[in-house]
Amino acid sequence: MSSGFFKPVLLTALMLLLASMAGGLSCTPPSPVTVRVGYLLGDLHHLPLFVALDKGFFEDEGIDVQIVGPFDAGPAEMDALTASQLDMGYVGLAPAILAAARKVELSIISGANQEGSGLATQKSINGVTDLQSKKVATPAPGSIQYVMMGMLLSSNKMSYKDIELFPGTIKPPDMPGALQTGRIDGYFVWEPYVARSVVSGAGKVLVESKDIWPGHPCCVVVTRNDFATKNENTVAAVLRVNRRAINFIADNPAGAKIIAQKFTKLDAATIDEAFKRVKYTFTLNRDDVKRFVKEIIALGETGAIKPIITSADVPDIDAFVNRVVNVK
Amino acid sequence: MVSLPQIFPTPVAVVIALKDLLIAPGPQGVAWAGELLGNTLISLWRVFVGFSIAAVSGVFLGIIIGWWPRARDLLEPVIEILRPIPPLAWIPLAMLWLGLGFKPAVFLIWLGAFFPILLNTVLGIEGTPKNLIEVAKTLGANSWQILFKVGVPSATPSIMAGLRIGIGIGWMCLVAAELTGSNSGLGYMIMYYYSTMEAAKTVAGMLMIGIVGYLAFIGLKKLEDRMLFWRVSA
Repeated sequence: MSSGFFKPVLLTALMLLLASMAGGLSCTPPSPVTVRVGYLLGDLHHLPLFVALDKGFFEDEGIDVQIVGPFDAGPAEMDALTASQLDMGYVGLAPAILAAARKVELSIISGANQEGSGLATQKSINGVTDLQSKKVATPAPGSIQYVMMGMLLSSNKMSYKDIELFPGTIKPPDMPGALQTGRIDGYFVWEPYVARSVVSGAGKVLVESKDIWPGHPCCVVVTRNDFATKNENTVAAVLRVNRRAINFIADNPAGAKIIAQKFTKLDAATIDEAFKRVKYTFTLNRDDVKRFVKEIIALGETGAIKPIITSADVPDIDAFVNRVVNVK
Repeated sequence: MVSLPQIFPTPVAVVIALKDLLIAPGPQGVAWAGELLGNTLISLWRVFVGFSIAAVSGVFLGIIIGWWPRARDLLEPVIEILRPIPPLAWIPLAMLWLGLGFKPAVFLIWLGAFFPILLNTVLGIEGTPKNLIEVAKTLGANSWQILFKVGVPSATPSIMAGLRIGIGIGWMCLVAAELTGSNSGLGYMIMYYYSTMEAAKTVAGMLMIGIVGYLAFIGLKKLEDRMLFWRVSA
């Protein structure tokens, strides 16, 4: 056989080999991207995350999610984000704003829920003014419930000095028990721990957070800016997961409640009661966030709460919110 | 991470935080003292009460156990079961039994300080030189006189050492108790500023804890030197 025969054969063989290698490479599935996501202890507001984990929505998007937490309150979660122990998180709007005001490089990229917190009290308490000199617990200073307690006090011409406020002293799951044993007279916290006292008969809901501000934004999804810059597609995928989970909750409330029970380890009656007060939405209005920042600053200036953020921290609220809130 | 002031405040930031905390209004009842000194006074009061109860109960029980073998046989098993339980493990029960604020903090300080004082008192009493007891008997002293004129003075160096250890542990227990069960005091103040991401103020509070702890130690040492003036130093 002449060399003229072998050359085309060799060339063909080489081309076939290269093609099979290329085909092999394109058939290899891409490695899932790992994203560390934080959340709060037993917080029903973070049900979209629980639903996404239970239903495998992250895997559908090719995301390897690593859950970090749970955290007792938003400020602790924001500390972890600051220290790069988290990439993204479900957290209250107030701690996210607080962290951003402290120059933490983060962005608020989606809503998670509106409303859904409340003030549970002993049955003998008939109005906010009855809380004068009484013991009231909230999550840590800087949490949204701490701020809303301040708003409630302010609207009743009171301040935190008129009550015995215990912020961050009792973990949210322990608050219903503390009310039942009489250690505290009231607590302002996220669902389902407000509902717990109602269902157990230990207390009542004196005020819902929607009574203070109807439709107020509550929990949001945040991301570290450096993570978002390097992983745009991953962040976009997590947002798709969040939307899909929120739509699932709207379309399948019964299924969502079962998942809620699983993650919070609370009974069906408590979850049913809590669901009445939580609205799930991925929308987040910048004007609402601006209003919230103004409220936090004003509450500190009037002495309703100890100042958390001052106008020195956020001299231009519009610019601050426009920079931090990037909801698509 | 070192470049994150929210987590690692600079020394200058801590000094500024100290200044701010000195002039900010203090907690209810001690608003005049400023936030830093006001919370310090609250913590000190809790330590004073808890430590006083621990000192009296620890020395009293220690003398009984150290002097009377029957009391030791009866009480030692109970003490040896309770002693290894870390005081901090009692925090949830302390809050459940005693509520929030002053009482659980005092309880935890008492718990932390009690055992070192008790054990050092027992050791001191048991270590009373036998020859001194014999001499006292020879001179006609009765049991009570031997206990209070020979046993207790002989045990005083050990008792003072126990008090110094006790105040250190009691102070640490106080801070832990205030981190979770209070709305005032240095421990609470540290937790508060951790939550509002003001690390410089958190560090300022920790610095104050260290300073007060050191001053308490020095105070007790001076008291010990005055009481034990007869002791020949090495």
